[in-house]
Amino acid sequence: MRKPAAAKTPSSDIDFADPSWAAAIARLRLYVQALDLPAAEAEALIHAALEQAHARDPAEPLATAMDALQALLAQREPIVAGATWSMPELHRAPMVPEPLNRSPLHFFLHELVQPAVLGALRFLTGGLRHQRLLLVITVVGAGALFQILR
Amino acid sequence: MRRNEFKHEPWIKMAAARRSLFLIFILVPTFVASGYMAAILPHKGTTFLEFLMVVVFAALFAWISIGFWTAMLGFYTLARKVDRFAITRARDEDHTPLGPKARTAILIPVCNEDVTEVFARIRVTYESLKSTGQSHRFAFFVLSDSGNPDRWIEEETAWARFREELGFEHIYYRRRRVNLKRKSGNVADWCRRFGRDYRYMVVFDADSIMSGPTLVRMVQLMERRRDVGILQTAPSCVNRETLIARVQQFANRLYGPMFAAGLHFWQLGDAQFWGHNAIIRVKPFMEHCALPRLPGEAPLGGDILSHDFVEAALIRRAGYGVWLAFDLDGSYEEVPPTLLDELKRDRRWCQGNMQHLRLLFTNGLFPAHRALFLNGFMSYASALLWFLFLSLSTLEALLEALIIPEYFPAAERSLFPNWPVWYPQWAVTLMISTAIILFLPKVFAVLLVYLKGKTRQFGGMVRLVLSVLAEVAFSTFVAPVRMLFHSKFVFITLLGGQIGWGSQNRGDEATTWGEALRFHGGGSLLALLWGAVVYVVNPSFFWWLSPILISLVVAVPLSVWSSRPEVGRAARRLGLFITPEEVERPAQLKRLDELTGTARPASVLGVSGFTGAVVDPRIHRIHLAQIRRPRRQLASIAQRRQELKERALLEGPSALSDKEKKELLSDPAALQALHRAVWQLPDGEQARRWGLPSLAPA
Repeated sequence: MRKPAAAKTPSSDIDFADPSWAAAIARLRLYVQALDLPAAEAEALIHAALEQAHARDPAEPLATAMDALQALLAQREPIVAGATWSMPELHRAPMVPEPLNRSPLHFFLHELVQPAVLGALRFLTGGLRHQRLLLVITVVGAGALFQILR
Repeated sequence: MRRNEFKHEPWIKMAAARRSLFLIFILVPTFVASGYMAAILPHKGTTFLEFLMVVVFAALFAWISIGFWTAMLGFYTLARKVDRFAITRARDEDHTPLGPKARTAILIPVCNEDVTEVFARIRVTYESLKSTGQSHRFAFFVLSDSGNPDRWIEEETAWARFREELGFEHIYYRRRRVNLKRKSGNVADWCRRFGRDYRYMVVFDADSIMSGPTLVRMVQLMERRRDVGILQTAPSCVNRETLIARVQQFANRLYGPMFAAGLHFWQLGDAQFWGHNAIIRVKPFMEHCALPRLPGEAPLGGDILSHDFVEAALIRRAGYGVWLAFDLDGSYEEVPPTLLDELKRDRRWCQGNMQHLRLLFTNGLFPAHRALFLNGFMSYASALLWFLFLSLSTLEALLEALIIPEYFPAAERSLFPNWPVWYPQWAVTLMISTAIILFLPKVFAVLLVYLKGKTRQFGGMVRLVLSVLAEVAFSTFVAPVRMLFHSKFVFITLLGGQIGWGSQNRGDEATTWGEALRFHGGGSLLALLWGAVVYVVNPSFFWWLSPILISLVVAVPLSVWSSRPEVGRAARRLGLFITPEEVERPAQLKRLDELTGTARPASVLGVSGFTGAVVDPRIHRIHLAQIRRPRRQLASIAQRRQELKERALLEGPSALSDKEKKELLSDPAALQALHRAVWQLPDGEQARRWGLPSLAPA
């Protein structure tokens, strides 16, 4: 951790020997240090916060000074450079599942039998050469079947 | 549903021819080997037990033949140096800059990962992309499903720092409040919100790295080939140091290219999508790849776990091709560091792959993708089949030893005795044939490296050969352990057992003896009992079974030693399992090494995670910018949060559970109040619990 910068006394009648004010200053320094603000700006903020705290409630220096600092920081834009919304502009579009028919019967009938039948029909009506070939296959097949059965 | 404009692509006919050839290569030897197996058995496969053994053997032989022929065809493809259907030889290819419409999103889904490492990898990819001069066409999206509140805040902080340090605005961060459908749901959520703005998306895993030129090239290829829906790269496994991971990396780098080329040979435009290191055409993906919930409950119903195979099948169903760019380098991933991590991952994958069986008959899918579903299932079911085969063989051996054969069965009325004959030499022949199928691809991989003059990338020829021998020995020892676990996974899933889906361990953390004993002790005990029974009843069969049993018995020390990075490093010093990335570190990996060693703390106060969001004003404000504005709350909710805040203030952050921390982190008003209250804490123990240093002067 970096060491806090040396204290610069605010021009007011705050009693810096008082441990509660010293603690408040140290805590404010830690806070602005964690924000990584430019040194001059940080000092000015601490100074202003302490002045406000002293004017408001000198009995509770830590709490009032921190409140005052945060109120001052809220006026500063942006307080932290990277603190922005992390996504681009929304442009919504649908993404919904398409219907899936997972039935084995549907698969058997529509994706195995149907294409086979259609293919055979296409073959049969595909021209003379196909029909002749089919005739040869039928004759040979029938002959073979007849031999087996006999 | 199906786009017909790509129906007549020239590769389709070639794919049919190649797959027919591939099928013949598998089925013919399987048929011959199964006949041989039946002939070896004492009753020639005529008893029910022996018939079952032959059937299981046939399935296993076909399964290993797929791997063998894939490797051989890969060797053929790579040795020829040219494949006119390789996707990288796209038509009308040129290298013009990417057009304005070729906007590409790089999606990095994360879930409780090491944030420093994830952002280091993103940075490496970004810097490499920037060097191409095309980074303005790309945007990065870190999509978080992290449930751990500390990781959530660390991710936001790392994102803000990345933007600030690199001045790159097109990196975005989103954390989902509800992690519906895990990674696939995360990507789908992104598509619904931002997908319209991008033509392509490149999906990463948390451990992915890709080089800029590779990313640009992938977009160029997609621009040239409108028929391609998904283009998958074959990532190189890198960066692990444990022994098992180094063996995996070596195997991936030596055999991987050959297998990838082989897969490309027979799959062509029906390839697999592995879920990461791939580019996807967003529009058709959104139109056709949304995943439904499967009817019924997990493990086989509910959300689809292994989404990638299904998405590939669906985009192909829509008419777009899925291609494997096997020859595109510059794509990296990491392997699990230990055997236990690998097995945990496998358990998830096993469940996912078994779910795919329910999609096997889905209308409109291409036969190749149905085959890939079966192939994925067989990746795990083959283990159960192997286990079944060993069990049946043992039973057969025990029965042969215990039951006196009937030499003259009454039914046969023969003068000659019916001898149950067992020819050990035949069994040896079959075993050698099986070994050839398993190990010949490794020899060919070495040959390929030699022919391409790349032996130096593996530490030289001598070290390469020694590494292959060591890898074979190691794999032989680990295979029975994997077999036992995978069998268990399949069995549990079939019985309805559920599987957790936590984040992966990506660090080199060694397995402890206790963990190893808990996971492998049962298997070792089983092997001891199995071996004892077989040795007593049929000692000759015991020696056949001994390699498997010994592997199971030594599983505990094997798992522990192989998980140790120092053992992996010692192997490296000996010149074993050297990979090309270790010999000559690619620029991206060198840069990653630099970045991982120089991580800057997130806060000057030394706090991070939830404590950082409460205490550090910078982290606090970064976080506030990401959450919803304060909303009206029910009195009961406001009251509960007030109590949480008071407890946290009093007892420190450790007093809150993760759920309570997330509740506070999601409520800007409560978080701001806690922030103020913490900073107003007086110096002392309470403030120190929140990481605030003492205010007393040193």
